[in-house]
Amino acid sequence: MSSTEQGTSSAAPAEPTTAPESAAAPEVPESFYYVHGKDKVVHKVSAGALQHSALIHGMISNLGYTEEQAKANPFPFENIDGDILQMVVDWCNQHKGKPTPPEDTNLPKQKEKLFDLVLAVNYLEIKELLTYCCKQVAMMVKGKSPEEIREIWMIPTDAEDEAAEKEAKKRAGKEAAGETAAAAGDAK
Amino acid sequence: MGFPIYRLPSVALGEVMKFMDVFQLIDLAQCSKKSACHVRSQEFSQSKLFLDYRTNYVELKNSKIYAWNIKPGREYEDSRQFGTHIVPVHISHKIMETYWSDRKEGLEILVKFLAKLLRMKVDQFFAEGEISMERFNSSMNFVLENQKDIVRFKIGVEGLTEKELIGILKQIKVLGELWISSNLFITEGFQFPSYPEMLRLDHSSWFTLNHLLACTDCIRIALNETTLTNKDLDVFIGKWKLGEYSKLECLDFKGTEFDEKTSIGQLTPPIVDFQNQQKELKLIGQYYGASIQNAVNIRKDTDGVRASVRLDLQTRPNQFLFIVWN
Repeated sequence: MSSTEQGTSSAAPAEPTTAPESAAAPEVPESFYYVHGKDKVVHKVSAGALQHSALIHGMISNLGYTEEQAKANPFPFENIDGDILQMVVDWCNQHKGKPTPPEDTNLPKQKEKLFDLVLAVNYLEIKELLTYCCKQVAMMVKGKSPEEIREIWMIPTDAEDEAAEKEAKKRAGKEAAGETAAAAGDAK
Repeated sequence: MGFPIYRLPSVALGEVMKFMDVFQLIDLAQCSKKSACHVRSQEFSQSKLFLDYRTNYVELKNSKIYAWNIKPGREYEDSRQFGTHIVPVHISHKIMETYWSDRKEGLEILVKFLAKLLRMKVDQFFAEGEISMERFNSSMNFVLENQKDIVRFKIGVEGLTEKELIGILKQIKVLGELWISSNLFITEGFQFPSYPEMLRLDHSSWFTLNHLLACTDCIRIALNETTLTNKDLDVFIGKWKLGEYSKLECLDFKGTEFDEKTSIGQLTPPIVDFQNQQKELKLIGQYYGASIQNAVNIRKDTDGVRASVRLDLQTRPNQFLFIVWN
């Protein structure tokens, strides 16, 4: 589990220390960073765990934050629900420095949660977790008829798609007309 | 609440589709036009479409779809739409059985539907069995319109003419195996536009030394009813010993023109060694295995590579077997 803001933390050096070559290399203290989701609950996560996320790894790779700086500047992910971010952080911690197993059975069973998790994982670019999630999504419709697939995956019919397209065109037309009128008003 | 699949970002949607089997993709495509577009937009370049008219199935991504004739009076619980055709189906693990008023026509419709839906080439095409020329031409034209090469191609259609065969071979390059089982006599002077890795001719009386000498890239050549003679084989084996035909792994010729007078590669027929009881086995490419016993060994002059040769004149037809041990 991740620790939240209230948890203990260890300082991360701004500059990595270099060990003498002859001596056994002392363990380098692990760096920690802080992230929060829509609910503003801050999660403390090690740099090692965050390596799973290509997005965050890219963001932190050259920061060289001290512990205080990291704490003061948590990464905000306002588009991710708190409980989903918690799931992601837990997954990253559990799989820190380990080879990922071929299956992951701990993914949420509820479709809404899985959907939000896929969006979050896709945004955070966590490739392995995205693979697990997408496999589970594909399994949802295994052995189902087209009608059942349509229901499970909320696929609109052709008529619904056409109606939505018409509506979108209408809306776009209205917006364009509004912009033209506004531009004409500005010109006057 | 369900799972709004099309609200997923395209990367995630593509990832989901990667985990779907062929039957799921077919079913998804039937949900709506938009769904069919999504399926079509995925890349299935690693998958292979295998059309076999003899056993009446199409195979892709380790799944098989059979086309059967519909049985009058039988009730079918499920159905699927392929293009404009809605037909009864029975689906079990990795196998879908589809029922048509004409199963050959059904198979053709299936192939065209799948090739278009999954944007796949026909990788292997076995045109044999009870397939009419009309059906063959229609399927063949579809293949020719959509691709320039094919991995494995077997032609065993009755009524196919030399002109038609040559016309087809000029339009498509066979990469893996060309297997002609139609009983055709090809006019002297014809040369294949290109040679595949494996050439197999069930009626090869027209296949001359010149044809054989042109098989520079072949790894296996199998000829039935060959009219090649010891002299022809001597020329070919002589060139092999001097380092030509470096890819060659197996010759398997059955014919009645071999004799016991003319030596082949300095070996006098019959080329058998009954003292050599060792049975040697070899896999030839992806599709064949070869075994040889009582063989005589010869070696290449250039690098000493060994080959086993056997020409038994006691059997009818005589078999000339030549296996290279690289």
